Amino acid sequence: MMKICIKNLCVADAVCDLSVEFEVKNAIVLFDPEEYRAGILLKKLVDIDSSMDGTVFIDGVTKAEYFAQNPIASVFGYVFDEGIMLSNLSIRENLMLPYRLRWGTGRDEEFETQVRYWLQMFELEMDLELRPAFVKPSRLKIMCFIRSLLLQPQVLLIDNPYYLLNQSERIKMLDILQTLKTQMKLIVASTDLDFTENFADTVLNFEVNNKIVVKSIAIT
Amino acid sequence: MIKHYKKKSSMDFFLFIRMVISETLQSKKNTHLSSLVTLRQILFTGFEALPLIGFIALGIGGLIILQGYNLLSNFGQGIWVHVILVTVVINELSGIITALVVIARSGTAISTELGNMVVNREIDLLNSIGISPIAYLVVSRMIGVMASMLILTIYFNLIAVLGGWFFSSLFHKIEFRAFMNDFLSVLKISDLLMSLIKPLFFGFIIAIISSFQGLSVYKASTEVPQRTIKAVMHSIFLIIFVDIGITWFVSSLVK
Repeated sequence: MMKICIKNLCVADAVCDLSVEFEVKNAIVLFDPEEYRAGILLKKLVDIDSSMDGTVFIDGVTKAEYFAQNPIASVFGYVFDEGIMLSNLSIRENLMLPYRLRWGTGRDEEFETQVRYWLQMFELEMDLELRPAFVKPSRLKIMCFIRSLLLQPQVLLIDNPYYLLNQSERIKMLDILQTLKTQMKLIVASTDLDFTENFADTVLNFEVNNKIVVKSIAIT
Repeated sequence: MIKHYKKKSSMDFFLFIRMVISETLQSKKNTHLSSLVTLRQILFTGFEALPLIGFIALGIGGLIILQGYNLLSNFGQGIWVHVILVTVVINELSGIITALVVIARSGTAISTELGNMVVNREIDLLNSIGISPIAYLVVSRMIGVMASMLILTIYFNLIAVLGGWFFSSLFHKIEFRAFMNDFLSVLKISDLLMSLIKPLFFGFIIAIISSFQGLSVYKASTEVPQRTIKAVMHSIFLIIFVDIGITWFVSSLVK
């Protein structure tokens, strides 16, 4: 079981000296009503904000050493809170780029099959040749979610899964996450107490300052 | 990567160059990712700039020949106009003018594009899926701009020489073969070498400075034009210094 240890995480004046250690099992929710700190923790895991200080250990070794042995795309799939895509590529190219990096070239047919499968799961009809600027933000977010799923990472990191989604899309997202929870490990940052209660197996609660309260059952 | 909350120093710039060179040396493993970006860069920087470069080269070549011939023929030294063409156009102006055009078109575009990518979190996206932004965005652009600079400078030289002949033949009835014989008799290997080396250096400088400034944007879109202005200023300064350095070095070797 993967063990993650984050030490002395600092980001300007938003987070100072935050340390946390946990085992990744099933579905972990980082519950943070203020949103920022839980999101920062996820970002630190995939190293996407260079202004952060602090060290991450995965299974006892530093993140850099761990990623030298295991490509980041095979370990973590990060789903942004917004639908972030490369604006000069089409949606298909955006999905294809990390897919080819992860699985190599020559698997285009399987790629198409998997994309179709996930689009059906989300009940989404989509012109994949469109540029991201022409796609609704909520749809773009779902496509980003699909992009991460195509990589089949060990752990899926999801930042604020309900953000930008309407009520029906949220219900669909929760359904899919409930299914995914049985198939892969998930770490989700959320501001939503209802979601946390309904979904989490383990909760890391950021409610009280920076002190993290770990609970193995849903919050009451 | 670059620590954003600190003010950029020249040390950051040198570290950036080191990272780019290191990624370039490892670029074989990333070829499938960056070749498309490189081709797009050559298309934009090289191919689409051909009409503008051609127009400028034609004008510059013609003007130099006309002015030079008028001036020198007063002293009965009209033949030396080819020396001026070689010294001024082939050695100096072609590289500098092409570089200025490339800075204006592509340097600003690279800086703005990368700056906007930072603001739109596209750089974060690349990092999150394990693609090095340096390898994917910077190395490919650097190769594209260097190749384009080389092609554009050679094209500039050709058009300038042909333009020189065209304009001189309009007023002084000079045979093309005679014009070219005179021109080639004063053209040395060192001139050719210099006109091939300089654009490669200039292309490297433009791509590196523009990329560095673009990636130095933190989070505000208002930083993008500021960084673009810096990219233009720093590129021009450095190109002039490097131009003087190369000319001095090659001249001292020839002597």
